[in-house]
Amino acid sequence: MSSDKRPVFDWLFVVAVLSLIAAYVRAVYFTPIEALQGAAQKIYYVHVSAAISAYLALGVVALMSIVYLWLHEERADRLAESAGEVALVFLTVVLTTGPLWAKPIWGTWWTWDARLTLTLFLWFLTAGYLVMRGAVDDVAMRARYSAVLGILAALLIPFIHLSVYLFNTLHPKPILLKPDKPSMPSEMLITFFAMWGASTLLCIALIGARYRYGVDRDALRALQSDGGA
Amino acid sequence: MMLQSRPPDTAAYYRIAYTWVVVAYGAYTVALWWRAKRVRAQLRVAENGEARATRGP
Repeated sequence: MSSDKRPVFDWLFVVAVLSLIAAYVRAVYFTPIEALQGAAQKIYYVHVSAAISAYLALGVVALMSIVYLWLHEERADRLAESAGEVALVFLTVVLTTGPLWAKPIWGTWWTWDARLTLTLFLWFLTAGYLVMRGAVDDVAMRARYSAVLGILAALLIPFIHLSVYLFNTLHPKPILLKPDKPSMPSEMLITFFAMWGASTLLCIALIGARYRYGVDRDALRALQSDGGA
Repeated sequence: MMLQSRPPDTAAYYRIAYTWVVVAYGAYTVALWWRAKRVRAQLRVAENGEARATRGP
């Protein structure tokens, strides 16, 4: 197997970075400041788009975990691992930008509200998923255990989304992902869609890059184990 | 007289959040690039070693 392959960061990553820059410029310079919350409302664009990207990445983890359990396909396990790592990055952004919005608006960095607590729990599950992958040496066993954990972690997502309806929470209800029309002016909506698009592209590009790294790492491990045998 | 209310000054939080997001995505990208670079270098060395071993002396 040759190591002379596609660059780890391909054209999609470049497109994602350019889109993110464009979305940032729009959010910072061309989006009005909300009257009640001030500039802190703009945190919404990065916070919610990171949350949706984290859900997307965890959806990939769950889907590829099912594929692995069904077909025992090594590539599905590697893709699930890649998506899990990227999901953790986006979840970290969600859990840190949330308090930065909450402090000026709620007057506190954190509250043990259902949405926040479940998201923190999802972060721990995702981190646990990655830590467990590093702790199990047997390849098939690692893939099987992590597939089960990956599916269970993704099952939390609908509960997190619905938690604001199921429980009495401080967290605002969805502005966009709800049955009726989005409750946001069009200028802000366009900015949100731009940030969401950029974040989704970045998420996909990072999963791809992480997957290519995984291919090389596994090829190296195979060569090393052949040499050691 | 009507009082014109101005939005509260919460810009500092928003600036920190936007900077932090760039730092977080950037740090992960750099870390991934560095890991990939290191693995590819090790893979090249291992492949060359294997090729030499298959060719023999």
